Amino acid sequence: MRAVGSGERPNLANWRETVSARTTAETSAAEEHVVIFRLDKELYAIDIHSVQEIVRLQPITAIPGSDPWVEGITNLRGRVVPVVDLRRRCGIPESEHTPETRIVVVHCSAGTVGLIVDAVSEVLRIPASAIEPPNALSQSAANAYLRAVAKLPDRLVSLVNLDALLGLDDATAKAVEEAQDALDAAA
Amino acid sequence: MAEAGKRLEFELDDEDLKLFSEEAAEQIEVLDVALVQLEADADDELLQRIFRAAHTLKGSSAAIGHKKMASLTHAMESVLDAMRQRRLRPTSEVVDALLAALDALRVLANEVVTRVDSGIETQSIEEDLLALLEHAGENAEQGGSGPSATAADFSFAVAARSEIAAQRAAGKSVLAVAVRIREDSPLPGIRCFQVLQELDGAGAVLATEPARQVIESGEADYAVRAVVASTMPASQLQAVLADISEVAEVDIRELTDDEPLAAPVQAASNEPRPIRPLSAANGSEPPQTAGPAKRAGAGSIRIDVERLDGLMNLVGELVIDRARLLRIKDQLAAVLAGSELAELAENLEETTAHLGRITDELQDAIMRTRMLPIRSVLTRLPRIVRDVATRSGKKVDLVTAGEETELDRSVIEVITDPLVHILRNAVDHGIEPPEERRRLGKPETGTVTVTAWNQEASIYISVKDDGRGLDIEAIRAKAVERGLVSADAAAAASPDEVLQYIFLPGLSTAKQVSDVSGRGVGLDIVRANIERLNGSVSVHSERGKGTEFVIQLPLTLATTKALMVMARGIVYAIPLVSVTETLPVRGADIHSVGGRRLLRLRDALLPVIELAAALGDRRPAETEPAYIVAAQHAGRQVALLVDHVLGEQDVVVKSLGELLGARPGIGGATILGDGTLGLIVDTPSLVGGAGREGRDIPYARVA
Repeated sequence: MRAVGSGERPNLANWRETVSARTTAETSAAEEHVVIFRLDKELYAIDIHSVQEIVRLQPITAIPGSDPWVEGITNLRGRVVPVVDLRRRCGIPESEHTPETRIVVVHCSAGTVGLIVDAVSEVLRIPASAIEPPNALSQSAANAYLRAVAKLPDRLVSLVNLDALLGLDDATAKAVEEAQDALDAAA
Repeated sequence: MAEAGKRLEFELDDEDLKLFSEEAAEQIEVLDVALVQLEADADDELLQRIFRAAHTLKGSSAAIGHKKMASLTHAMESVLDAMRQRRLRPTSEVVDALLAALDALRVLANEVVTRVDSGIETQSIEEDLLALLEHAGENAEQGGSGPSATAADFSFAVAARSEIAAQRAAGKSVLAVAVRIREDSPLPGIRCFQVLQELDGAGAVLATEPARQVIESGEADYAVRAVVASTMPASQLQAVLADISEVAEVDIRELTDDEPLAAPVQAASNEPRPIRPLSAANGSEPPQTAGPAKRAGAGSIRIDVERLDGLMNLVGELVIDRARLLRIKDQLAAVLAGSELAELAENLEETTAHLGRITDELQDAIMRTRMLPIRSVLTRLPRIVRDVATRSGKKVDLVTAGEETELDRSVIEVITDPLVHILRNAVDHGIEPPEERRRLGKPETGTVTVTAWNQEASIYISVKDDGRGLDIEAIRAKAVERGLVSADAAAAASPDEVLQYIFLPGLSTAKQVSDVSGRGVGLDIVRANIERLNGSVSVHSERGKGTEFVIQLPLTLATTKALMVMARGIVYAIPLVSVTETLPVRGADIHSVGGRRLLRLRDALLPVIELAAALGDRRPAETEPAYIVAAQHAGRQVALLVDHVLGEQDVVVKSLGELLGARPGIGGATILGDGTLGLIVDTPSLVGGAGREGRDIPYARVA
């Protein structure tokens, strides 16, 4: 396992690069250890401890009648894992998958879930001083799954609350649903 | 108590919590079973078992600082101790008080999990228990009962301890057999020899008393005791032995782990980690060494179910890889045919075949380790029968048989609810009140028999009562009155057909609605839930003689036989139990009637449903469906249109996961030969009718 730190940018594009969750001891309270991914032009971050692994796009079986943002299910070494299209989930217009497209496999309160993202860019330690609480955002119901924003020297990264993102808390689910409907109506 | 809802703190971490809960559940179950037996037969061994269970609970609850639970178990212990010393007899008053305490213990044990004060009142229960002690001694037993037949000493089998453990590990049940020959038998030695021969036929005889040579030389006298490892159910062995001439008495029971022969000290080094230190118990009883009730003896260990499930998953993958390997072998053979390297393909074929056999055996072996005897379900029943009988003023004996019948734990989890439901019905509605039975010339006490057995790849459980039977005419009238069946159809129905009406939603024939079995919401759900698991339930009844329900379920829910089909690019597995036939669309007799398409199949008209569309696939179809799969559920048949039929296959059922949850029409997923996933069709919800309201798709508990 390659050492990861704020100075390094390991290449996460490798096949089934596994991100070790055993970094707790190294992480002090004054920083957040995150995996950063790209969706359209924006950067998002997920707590590294929630990330089980990152895999290339692999065959996904559609589930008829499921929510539109559910891409389907995939076979992750013998386990059936639901896969969510994050673009659709976040109301970003769809685009073709590219060689950069990845499935970020995360643990959340609904078990293991795969998230399709445009690219995974890096693993970072973000100092707490660079993280703004959510009230600094122009928070709307539709992006209630953003729990904070990290101001890095050259860019902004949105910190994601997974359970809220996956509609696992009811309030968010409702808000996201409404936003989705509005988007569908516009399309 | 005013503290309900308050947060509770206990001195244990998550790992300890798991151990505590497991042990508490185990001991509570021991008490549950044993306390009910107490009324019937209070032998020393039973009392000892109950005392130990209460004592263990007291120790572990005190260790984690659960004062209320420790105090209650202490009171129970005092009562039990008085009974051990024969100062107190197990009257129904005593048993009632102990059962009330047991119910409270369940709640208290659960507090440890929820960490929330349930507010349960235990003071009065403790007072009731202690009040019993005040009268103790007044009705002390004279002399005390001698050891009963079931408590025979099997310590002669000590030498066979490791063998016993090995046989158990191999999935055999180890039976303690005691046979007594009639005293007037002129040839007791020969009879004993016959007994030994039958035992040899039934399985491996691990130890006998007297020794084998003595029996074989015909020198045994009027009794034989033996320890046998066998797959034969005890009931069957019992029948075989009882058939031998001049046999007076046969007693067979499963040898328990805490039998005296499991005692030797050298076992300590092999002992798995003790469940909880019991030395923390603050009672007067000397601390014991480990959770005694179900202590794993040398040669057996406790395994976390999750680990077994993990193993099962891995073997599932192996099965898939083997399928892939076969495919590669075929390709290789095609490419290499005729060349010098053709031999390579042959070698690969041999190796693949061997791998296949090993994989099958491995799968089978792991499947067997997941199998449990149904005893754990049946032992809960006496308490339920006692409660229902008491509340409804009935006198009922429960007889259970086939406790050794093994089934997958996934099935054990789902079988209990329907079984209990039917059993409650039998006691509450089936068995007549004592005075009515007396008037009818029946014994006052009714009998409910629960029998389990295996047949092929299914387990059967029968619940039979000797009560009043079902009133065919009342059911017929009620079904019409409730608008469930047309008057004409009901009039034309045979008695057997009318009996099946009891599974219709909304039909209850009980004259009064009781608080025990409730209203007619029940049997329809019972049937729906059983059919959802690819099982069935049937009923037979004879007026005045009684009613029998038979539940059939597959031995495991982890795999199922399915017909693989393709619809709009997705592979679906339709459980074979629901498939009646397949036919090509071309040439099929399809008619359009009032905008609906119907398939005429011999005498039947089947609604035609396009599988993908019915499941909610909104993508446009690229090809016309070419095949029809006729599927049925609960007597309803539909014609499912699919693009292709791919063939039959054993599929390993996996849950779709919590995020997706239960979807109507889809019961889970399965991994296909090429590593991609197919969807398992949940026929009941697709075909419609009963079943849609079933709470969850039970497959979800498996993978």
